[in-house]
Amino acid sequence: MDVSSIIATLRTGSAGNSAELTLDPNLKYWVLFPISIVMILVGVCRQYIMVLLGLKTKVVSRKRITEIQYINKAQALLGNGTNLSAESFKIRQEYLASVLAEGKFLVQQEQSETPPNPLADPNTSDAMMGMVTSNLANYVPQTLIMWWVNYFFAGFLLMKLPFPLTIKFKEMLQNGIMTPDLDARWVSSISWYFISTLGLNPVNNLLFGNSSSANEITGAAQQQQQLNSMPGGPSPEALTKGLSNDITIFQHESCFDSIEERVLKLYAK
Amino acid sequence: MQSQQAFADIKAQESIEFNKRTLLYVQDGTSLGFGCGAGILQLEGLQGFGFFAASYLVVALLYIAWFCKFQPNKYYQSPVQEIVIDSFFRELAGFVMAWTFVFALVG
Repeated sequence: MDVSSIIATLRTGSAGNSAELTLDPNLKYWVLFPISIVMILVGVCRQYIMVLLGLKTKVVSRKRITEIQYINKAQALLGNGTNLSAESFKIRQEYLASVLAEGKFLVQQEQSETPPNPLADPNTSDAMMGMVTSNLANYVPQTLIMWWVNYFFAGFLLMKLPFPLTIKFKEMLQNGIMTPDLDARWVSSISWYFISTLGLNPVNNLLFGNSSSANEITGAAQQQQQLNSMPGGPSPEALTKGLSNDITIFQHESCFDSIEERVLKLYAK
Repeated sequence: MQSQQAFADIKAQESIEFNKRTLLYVQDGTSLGFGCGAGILQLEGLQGFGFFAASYLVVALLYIAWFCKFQPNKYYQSPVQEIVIDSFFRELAGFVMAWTFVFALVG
């Protein structure tokens, strides 16, 4: 078999016996459309359920926020200190080093023997609940729709796929149709379900791209705050101690040093 | 010009997200549209997938030319990966869905 005949085989699906079936046009209106509409509507419902469930605001105590913000401030000073003049850097350096070293803004916690149970913390359990509900919101409708399609629309061919499939797909996509010789391109309604589950992401994005993306942004911001209070990370005490040491020994090099020369050089031409 | 070099790799998370979202929106819309086109034209088998590959690449090039003004480096950290590779299978699935749907409706 040469290349052109292979391509011809691929084009027509199977070699030779491609039987043309005539399907009732009502199948389109009473099977294809209902399944598609239900799948899109389920996507819409899932979106709004996720929005409703995600409305809860995270609770972080004020002291904890102060602590996090002082740690961030020290890191910002280390990262962007070159933009300060020498004296203003020195003021901040002395202040932050002393404050962080004595742990003035640390949250006072009684030290228990065992590490705290992460499940007891309301914020982490909220995050876990979020993951569980999003998983449920994905899987429950999928199994329900699959059952519905299998139950209501079983036992007939719905459509012809525009691309050939191997014979292995026959069992799955022509389930319940007693035609051993039929080309695998003729498929029942369950295959339309599979194809549309795979391909609905772009449709959902086009339908409500804006709202979901806004959701993701706030979610990311919340996650960032979550990261700071992750259990298992270095304790804030150790962090502040380390940062105060870093700040104390930091070699400051201001961008304002000899700035006049550089500006003159820039405009010398 | 030392400071400009220092600020060259400061990234704004919002802008990165916005650029990705714009790209995804364009790709989603065009792949569904071209899927419908392939269905209306009654393309079959390799012709349809070739149509997808061609339209996908043409859309990527047009996007680079029109939205990025031929400077994708300015808007994306790794342009080839983000514009061409990342959403390939997503758009392929969307295309196949639209193609199959319209193919069955028209045929």
